[in-house]
Amino acid sequence: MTPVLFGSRAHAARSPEARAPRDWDVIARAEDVAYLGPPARTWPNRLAYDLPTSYLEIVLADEMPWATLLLELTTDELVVDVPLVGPARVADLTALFVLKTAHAVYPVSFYKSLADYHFLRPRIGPLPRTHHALLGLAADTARTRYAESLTPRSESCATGLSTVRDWTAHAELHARHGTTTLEPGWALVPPDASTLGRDRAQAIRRIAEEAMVLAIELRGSPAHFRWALRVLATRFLPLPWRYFVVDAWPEITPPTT
Amino acid sequence: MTKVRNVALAFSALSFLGAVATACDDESVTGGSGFSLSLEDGGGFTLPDGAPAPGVNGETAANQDGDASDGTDGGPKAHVTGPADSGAVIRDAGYDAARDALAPIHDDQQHVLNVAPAAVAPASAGAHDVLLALFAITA
Repeated sequence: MTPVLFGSRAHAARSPEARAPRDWDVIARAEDVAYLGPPARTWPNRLAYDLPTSYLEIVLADEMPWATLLLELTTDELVVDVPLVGPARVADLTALFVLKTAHAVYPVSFYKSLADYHFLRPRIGPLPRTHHALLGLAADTARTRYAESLTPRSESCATGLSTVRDWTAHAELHARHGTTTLEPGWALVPPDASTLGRDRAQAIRRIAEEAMVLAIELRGSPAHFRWALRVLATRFLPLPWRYFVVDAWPEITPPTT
Repeated sequence: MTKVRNVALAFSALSFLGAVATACDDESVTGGSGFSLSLEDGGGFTLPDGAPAPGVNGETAANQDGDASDGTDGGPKAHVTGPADSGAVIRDAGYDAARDALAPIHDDQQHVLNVAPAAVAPASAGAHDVLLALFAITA
């Protein structure tokens, strides 16, 4: 079966405005790349080969359901030559967005994922049923792979677990930087369709307020607002709200007092 | 007030370099000759009375998960710099750190993203479908 190209090189193959790619990411069955010989580096189900100015990473689809599905659903409407591997089908933009989104709410390579997310977001078509399945598999894979970042965190009152030492001072911070009254634990109610629509502005204000309070409490200055926002998006919030923060990131600005 | 010296943190951070490499993936993993670690704030820092002493990477003893960037460290951030193929470090740090060391991501990208809302292209209907599906899957 012809391998599939995904990742930044696939973004560039699909859209000339994409950022400069870093490497070549390919999905293949083990038997289809066995001829390549020993890789420079290996990880479970992954092989890496050094290239003169870049490197090639191969995801072995055999034991990875999301990769197997991507091999099956990718057409040969666009094929490119990949170093060492030869012809590879290019994953479609919707599949690329699905894979990127599923992984965008974890600490590893956060800003890269964020940039790719907002590059792809306006460019994808309707979500086909096949891609729904891909989304579920990719989200499960990411959740397993980055399980350590899912441990409930107590540093934000958004989850109602806060170990805030001085609740009076904490409430004053919220009052100073918020335009809404936030109840501890508000983030335990997941966002829904209304959050993306009529309630979007209010949700953004909530997130901004939470980030500002965290920036001041944990880092001592409003200057750490973006840092706090990243912590919320990758560590402190339940997963559904993390996805919302990533989606709304460019719209979230420090609250005016 | 409890005064904590950076030099102690430097040694503890060095002991957990692999974890730091992962934690700082999007902050300051850059190329260069030799492997080095620098501390951003310098000069020690101050903890409130009664606060737990920092552990690895400046984190509190209650949160020694090796992530100096997760909001629970009271001290300086450890930044890792090193060559693209820092041998043992890359092998020990694991897959994600290795990827980032081979092709570093710089903080510059954060500034790119601090754009005015008006400059943000509207999401496609498909993008909203993806988000709604993820809200449901992960709730």
